[in-house]
Amino acid sequence: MADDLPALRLDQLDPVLEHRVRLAVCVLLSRSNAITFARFKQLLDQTDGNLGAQLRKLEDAGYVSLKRAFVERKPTTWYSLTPAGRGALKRHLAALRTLTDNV
Amino acid sequence: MTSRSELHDDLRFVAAAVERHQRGGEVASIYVLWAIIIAIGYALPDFGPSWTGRYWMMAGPAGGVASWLLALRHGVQRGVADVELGKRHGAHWITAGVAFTLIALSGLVGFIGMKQAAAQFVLVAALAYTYAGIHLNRPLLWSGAVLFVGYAALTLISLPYTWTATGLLAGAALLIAARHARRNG
Repeated sequence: MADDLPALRLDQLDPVLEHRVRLAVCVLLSRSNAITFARFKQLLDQTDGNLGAQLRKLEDAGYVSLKRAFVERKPTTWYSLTPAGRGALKRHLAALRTLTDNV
Repeated sequence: MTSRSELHDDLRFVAAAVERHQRGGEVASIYVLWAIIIAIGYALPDFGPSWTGRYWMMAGPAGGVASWLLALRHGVQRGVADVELGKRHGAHWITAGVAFTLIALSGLVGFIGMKQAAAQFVLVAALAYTYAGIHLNRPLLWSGAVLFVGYAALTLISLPYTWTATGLLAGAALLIAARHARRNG
């Protein structure tokens, strides 16, 4: 298939970050210290269920950490990028850059 | 298998999310607050000179604390915490505050006349707003441009009530920034 990307370069991509929502979450968190679930929902236009599942995968991989708090009496979950997540994102973006530079 | 078009779609999705994230970071209420503080503070030398020093000693720090609290509240309501950005804002405006204080001191000790001090205030404000527009909040670029025009008008044309005119100009520039911030929010 002419549209396929070289398999060798794809191997360098992080499978956890291959999903667009998970990649967007990490990119957004790399630009801010913490972002709430509600804000992610607004920015990424995802259902609660889908967004929750993607965030759980990032949490399980150790890429994001969460903190629960109350904002104006409403329970709010804040997400932050962990050092492991920052490193993984950096490597993934470098691999993506190599891919996009060569396709 | 991941294809070229899928990869580009994914990158477009991420870029759109980042673009949305960048919008709405401005706090219009801070601009309105400083428009009021500056308009009053700059009019005082013309209409109540004895109150000017006391006013700025109170309004300057109080305005700074109020701005910090408003920014914090805005961030929590928006669902975004950005400590680094906060530090950059703080460093920028504190630096501008130091320059304003030095101009005021130069005026108070008689090193420069009050008319020159007013013009220098506008020039420093124009630089502070322009750099803030370039590095921090895009809407402030407009305020910077307005203040540069104001500086030229103040230095080339001898206006009556120079301080009041300066304050109104700076206040108007901030209200323009607030309008842009509301529109983007």
